[in-house]
Amino acid sequence: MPVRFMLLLLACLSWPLRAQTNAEEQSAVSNDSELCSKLFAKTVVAYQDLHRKLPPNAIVPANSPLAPLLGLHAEDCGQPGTMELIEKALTTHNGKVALLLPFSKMPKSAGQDVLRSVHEWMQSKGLVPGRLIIWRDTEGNREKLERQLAHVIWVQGASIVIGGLFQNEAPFLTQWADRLRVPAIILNRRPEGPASKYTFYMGPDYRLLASGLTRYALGRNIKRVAIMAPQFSHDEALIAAFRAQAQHLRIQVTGPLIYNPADYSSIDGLLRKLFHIDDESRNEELLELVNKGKEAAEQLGVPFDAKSIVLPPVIDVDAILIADHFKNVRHLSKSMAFYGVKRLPLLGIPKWRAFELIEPADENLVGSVFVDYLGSYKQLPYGIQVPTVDKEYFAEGPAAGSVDLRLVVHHALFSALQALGGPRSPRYALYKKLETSAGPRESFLSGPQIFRADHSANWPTFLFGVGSGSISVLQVWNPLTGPTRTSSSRP
Amino acid sequence: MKNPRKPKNLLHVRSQKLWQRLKSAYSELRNRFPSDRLPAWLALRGSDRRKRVLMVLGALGLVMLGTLMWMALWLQQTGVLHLDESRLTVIIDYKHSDNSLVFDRNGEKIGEFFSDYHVFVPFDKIPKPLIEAVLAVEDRHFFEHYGIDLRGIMRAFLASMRSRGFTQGGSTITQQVVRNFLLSPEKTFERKIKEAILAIQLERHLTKEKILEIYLNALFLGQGAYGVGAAAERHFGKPLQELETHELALIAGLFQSPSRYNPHKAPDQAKRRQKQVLKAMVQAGSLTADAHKVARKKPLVFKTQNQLNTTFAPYFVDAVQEQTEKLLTGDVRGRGLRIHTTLDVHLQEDVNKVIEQSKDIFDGAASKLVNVPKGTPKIVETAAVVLDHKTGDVLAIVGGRDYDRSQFNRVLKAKRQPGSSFKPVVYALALQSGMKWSDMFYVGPVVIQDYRPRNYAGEYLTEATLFAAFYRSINSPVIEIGYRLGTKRVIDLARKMGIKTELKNQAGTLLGGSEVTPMDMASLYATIGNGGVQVDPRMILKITDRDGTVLYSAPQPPKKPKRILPEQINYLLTDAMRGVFKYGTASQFGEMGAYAGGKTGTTDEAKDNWFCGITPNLTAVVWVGTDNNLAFSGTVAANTLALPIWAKIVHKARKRYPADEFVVPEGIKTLKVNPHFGHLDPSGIDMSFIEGREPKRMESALSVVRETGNFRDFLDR
Repeated sequence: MPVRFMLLLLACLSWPLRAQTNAEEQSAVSNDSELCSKLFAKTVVAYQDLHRKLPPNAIVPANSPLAPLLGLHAEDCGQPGTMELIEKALTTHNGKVALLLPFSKMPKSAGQDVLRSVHEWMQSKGLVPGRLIIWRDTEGNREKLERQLAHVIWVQGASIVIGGLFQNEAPFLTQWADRLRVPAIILNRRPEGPASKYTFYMGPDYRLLASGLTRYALGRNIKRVAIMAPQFSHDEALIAAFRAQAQHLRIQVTGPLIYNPADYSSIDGLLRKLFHIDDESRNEELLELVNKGKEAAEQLGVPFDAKSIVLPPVIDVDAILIADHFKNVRHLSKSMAFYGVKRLPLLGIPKWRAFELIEPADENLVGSVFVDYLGSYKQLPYGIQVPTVDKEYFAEGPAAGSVDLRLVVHHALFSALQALGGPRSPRYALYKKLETSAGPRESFLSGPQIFRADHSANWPTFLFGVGSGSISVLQVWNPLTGPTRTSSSRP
Repeated sequence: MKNPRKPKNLLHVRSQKLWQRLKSAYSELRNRFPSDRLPAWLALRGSDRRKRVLMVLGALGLVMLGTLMWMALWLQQTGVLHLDESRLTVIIDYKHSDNSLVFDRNGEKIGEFFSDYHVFVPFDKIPKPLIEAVLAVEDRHFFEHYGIDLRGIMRAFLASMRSRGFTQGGSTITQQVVRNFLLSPEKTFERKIKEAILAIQLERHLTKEKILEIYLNALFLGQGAYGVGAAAERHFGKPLQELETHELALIAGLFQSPSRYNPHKAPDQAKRRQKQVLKAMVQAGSLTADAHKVARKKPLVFKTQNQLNTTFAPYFVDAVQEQTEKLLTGDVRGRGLRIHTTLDVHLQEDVNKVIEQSKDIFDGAASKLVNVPKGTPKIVETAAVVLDHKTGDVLAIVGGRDYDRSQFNRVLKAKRQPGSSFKPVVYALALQSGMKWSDMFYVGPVVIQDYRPRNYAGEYLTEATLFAAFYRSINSPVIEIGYRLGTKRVIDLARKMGIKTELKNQAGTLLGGSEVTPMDMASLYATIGNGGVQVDPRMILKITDRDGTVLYSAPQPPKKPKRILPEQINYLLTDAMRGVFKYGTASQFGEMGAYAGGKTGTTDEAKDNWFCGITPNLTAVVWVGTDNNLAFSGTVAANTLALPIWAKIVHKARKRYPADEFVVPEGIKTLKVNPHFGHLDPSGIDMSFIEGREPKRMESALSVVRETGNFRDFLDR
């Protein structure tokens, strides 16, 4: 009943849009040969290009609306009926969502997670494979992606494409979506640059996460922040966003200070530098300490170990953003404690969120915070359930990674199927419905719009505080509703 | 024993010649004054000649009377006439001195304590040829005279007259006994008289055999040996009963002058003397000419010293002596004690061999010594001890590589840092306080009160369960645990487990920075081996005197044993010690994990290298290092130095002391657990837990990081 009601509601909401779109497109496909030529050059050629990507044994159904495009030439725009042919080809679709994902080869584990997630989704909705959702294996490479895209568009006539699980696939899918005027939901975060008309990004937006951290810093009167990040980090965008936002808020930022997480000397050297342990200006202080150590050793009758002499740290930052996962955070925290840097607030990212961040407990982490786009694992939308540790805020082991994927896939399918619901729109006009699709109710993803104006997904931001052996939600920012303080001090 | 008539010897021949001379002088006198004319002389009454003769005779008589009176007065004055027979009690009640003997657990003699070396041999056990040889050269008429031999005295008297002093003794064996026990060795007339009188008196109290037995057992015969039994061992290195005639002859010759004929100092003179004795034996009829020929040609092989104490377990014997002196107060040498010890001489020999055969290991290590001060020898030393931890019996001890070079017993006296081999104490306390093997640690640098220990090979940025931290011997978790639980508590537990040496109440102690002896460590590990029940190592089982009276008996094990660690906790610890073989620092002997557990210990710069371990019935500890605390370079560590030696020792010990498997107490559950992160893992390793305290988690986010290199990296892809 709720599903039927929802579809009816969607149909009602989308009717005016559909009417408007039709009017626009109809004008575009007028007999004006100039317009035809433009459309031909931008879109028909793209379809023809894509057709060439089809495997040799693939057969385009004779009754496919796209079939006429194969023999079409630019000069045919002068011929009557050409525009209609093109319009029909670009309008007609089969009402199915096509998933183009790497189900095999490396890195197939994520693809398999997605596939499981799709099955999970279909089962929850009582759907039969192939009826509304079709999927093809991209094997994680561009050529295969294009071949499969050609297949789902030319042979199967898919309405919306979901893919781009990895960033090496996402740009090509975006490119084709725009050229073909086929709506695509990319399962990754939105890249920098101008918004694409036909592409939507379901991955959580790092800018929102960075914003959560800078707001917290501002609220705690943190004026100086150092950023530490591992080599070859994939979080440069988040770091850059934090940096930009922090500077905008007049927070002094140092770094990013890059370390090799596999090399202790790298971390050690960086910390010694950050906390001025080896500053030449402190040589006299060191000498004094060495002499004291020698005296103490003599008094105790033990050999003097010069390596045990370490100057106390000079802490000239108010907080450190560590853009790394929990494991390295724990090791960094330990190293900081080794140098006497105790309870300096650390700022973190979603990768911090693992039970092993707080177990075994590290008193040096108490008072640190991190942001995440997920709230309680016990309140996930789409009926997703994951095994948790310590009640609701930690997913068990690999479930933490897979729940991110499942949530994004479910969310993408939800929005795609929502767009396909109700009166059928031409394919090129489906993006409009995506732009206005609303999130599921009764979850932290609920809201009037899944996507923001720039087509990035609207994810909330949760600020977690690290306690002694626990974490708690300190604050939640919903992009649409604004910040919410939570009374929860313990999950 | 009857001395048959024998061919005359050289002295006899000389005295015969002298007798002949006296006879001829008498004949001449008779010729001058024929006896048939004497009555005529005496019948000349009133004649002057008669008066003169009578006057001369009277004067002579007066002189003789005076002389006799003077002698009587002199004898009175010197006390010879009042010699008390009670003085002979010393000889009559003579109890032979006897070394204190040390026996191993199976009754084999392994050592003896003495100041003068005595080996008492009863008369009936003394080889007959020796008696014959001694009598031939010392007192051929021993069985015929009554303490003094007038012929001998005359012979000596004449010899003395000739040389104008007392040069020849002419003493009988009885006289020699008297002299040795009661009189001074000076050669005076007075002493000779006393000697003769006392000898006669002694003969009235003791049989000839007893006197000879005392003589043969009590007299000094060189090289610190008293008596023929001791002389046999000291000069020939074997028991008296094993000596052949040519060797016995040498011993018989020593009675005359043990120092002059000491074969170790004057072998040529000793050989000459031996020949004299053999010849005398021939003359006395106790040796045939043929046997004499053979005997004098046989080479004499002298052993420089008695090696019993240094043959099997010199360090152990030293320690036993020290302990016995404490138990019985005072010098135990020569007291004839019978000390029954715990040592197994066969196992000891096995251990000795292992140490000898490990020369390559020691030499290899010696070549890796660094910063050796000039003039300091590059000697790598060792200490090893094997205990039966059910009883605490010390079965074998090696206190050093070469007893001749150094008698310092490193097992009992060397105080060295145990390093990581001390860690079981910390882990035992951790387990007692509720921790479990699957508890996970982030391995990083740690500091406590400016103490900054480093992990071996600088191992950081890893994770380990408590179990893995144990078998990989990672330092930082130990410091964290110790800091949490308190160093004082760790020290208290260590003391209860067997450490007797005082431990420093400082963080370094947690990592074995406080010096202990190898025996301390053996005691500590024996407690673990004994199921958590305290074990006191012991070396002496029983001490008796020579008559069998028990003077000391090792205390019986208490009826209620002193439990230090709960049985289950102790088993968990044992299991982790087996893990050291299966997965850890001793994995080069991985197969030993089936029946043994242990822990390596390497201190800074490998100055001390330990392996301490247990089997179900034995505890063994091996230390390798230098007496000067020198540092090693390169790959030198406990598992390259101490462990291979330990493994060889235990391999041999198990053959002699086979045992079943470690007993698993009730309430123990063994599960497959990921060694790094502590979650249940079918591909993990076996870890034991107390039921109800086992891990429950099936996953860990750390496993994800390990497999993928990242976590929740959806945004990154």
